[in-house]
Amino acid sequence: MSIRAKVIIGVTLVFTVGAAVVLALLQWQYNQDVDYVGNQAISNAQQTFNNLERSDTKMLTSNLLSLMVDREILDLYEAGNRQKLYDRVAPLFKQLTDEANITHWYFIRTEPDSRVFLRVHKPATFDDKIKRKTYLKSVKTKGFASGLEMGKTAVALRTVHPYYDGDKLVGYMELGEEIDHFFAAMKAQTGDDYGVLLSKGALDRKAWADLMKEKGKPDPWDVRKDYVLADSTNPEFADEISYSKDAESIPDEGILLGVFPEGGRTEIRGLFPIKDLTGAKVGAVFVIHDITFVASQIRATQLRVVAAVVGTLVLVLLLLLFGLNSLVFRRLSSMTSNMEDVSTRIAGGDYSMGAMPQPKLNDEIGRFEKFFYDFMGLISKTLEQLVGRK
Amino acid sequence: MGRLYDAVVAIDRVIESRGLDAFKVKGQISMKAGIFLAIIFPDTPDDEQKLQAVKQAAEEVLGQGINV
Repeated sequence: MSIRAKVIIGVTLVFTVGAAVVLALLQWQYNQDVDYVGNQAISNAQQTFNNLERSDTKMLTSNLLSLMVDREILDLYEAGNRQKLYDRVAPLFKQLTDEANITHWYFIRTEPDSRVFLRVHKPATFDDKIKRKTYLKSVKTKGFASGLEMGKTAVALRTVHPYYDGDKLVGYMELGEEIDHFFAAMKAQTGDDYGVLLSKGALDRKAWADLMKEKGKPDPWDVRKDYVLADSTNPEFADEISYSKDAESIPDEGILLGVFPEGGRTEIRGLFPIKDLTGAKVGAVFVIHDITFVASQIRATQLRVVAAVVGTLVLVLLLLLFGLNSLVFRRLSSMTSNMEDVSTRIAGGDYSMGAMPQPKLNDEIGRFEKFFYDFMGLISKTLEQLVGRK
Repeated sequence: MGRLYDAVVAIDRVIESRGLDAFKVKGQISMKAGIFLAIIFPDTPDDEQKLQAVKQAAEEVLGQGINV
């Protein structure tokens, strides 16, 4: 194989490897960028969720404080007249629901009884014993107890406080809200879509089925292995919302599931856990973040960089080969031809070196040419003298 | 005259008859044979090995054998 061919192959290989390295780096950078964007989306969603939980907890607390100091309500409760109490508080409850999304209001008897005296949101159901963690915590601390709590069919944010008449403990009052309105608010703020996955283990199967029947919706219980999709901001994405591991395995800071092309869109999916007030993970919020525009921008930039790099490499390769050809290979070829001719002619008895071409350039090849011609001139003269003597 | 010199004369005859470049052809034969033809004279002692080398080189370069 000629030196020229070896150089061409070698340089082409090096440049190809270089281009491949650049491409790999670009892809790595793209993955890093996407991971960053994805993790940011999950973090933002989690922060927004936590902020909503905090602000709604304050709202529930302040409403609870206002209700607990209402004398008329207290008197009706202490009188034990459930219907009159309901008649008094029902309009208030409607207002709380309409204005503040409050969906639960309980009057609970003192411990150890702990039975529900009145569920304002469901007056037909009463006298069942409350064993919920928020209630038990309030009983223990004799103060506010707030947090997310899994009910039979949903997660609700609850606030409970002891109910006093002066210094006398007469019961407990609880306000609560389902958190489904959180996700519409989150979507309005972030632009992302969300789904709420609740762990099946934390739900009541029969209660769930009854709820679906009551709402006239198909029961999604068997669609997923460990979770039920309780809510989503866009029903079109329901099929995309799933997770194969249990809620306890989800890291506190959430997890990025990856980048998914989906019908012309590119989206990042991830989720973060929903924790109740004890810290147990009862489900997850699934995050769908659209990066179609960002991804296309990054890809366009990548293509431009690749085109520039490849174009530059090709140009450099061509210039290098042109330079090598002009300065080295062509001259080597000419030099070799001249040397062969000179040597042959001297061997054939032509001792005249007068017409030898002198090298044009004083570089490495030029200096070797000059040396060769000088040496052959010496050989030629010596031979001429030897032959002449004979 | 030696047979080596005869070989050179035969080579010259072929070169002349074909109008070839004498220096170039004899140089090619010299380099193939490993012997300068220019220093083969009538009294150059014969050497069978050198003679065969010249004859073979001449055949390769001229494309025809020489009779010596």
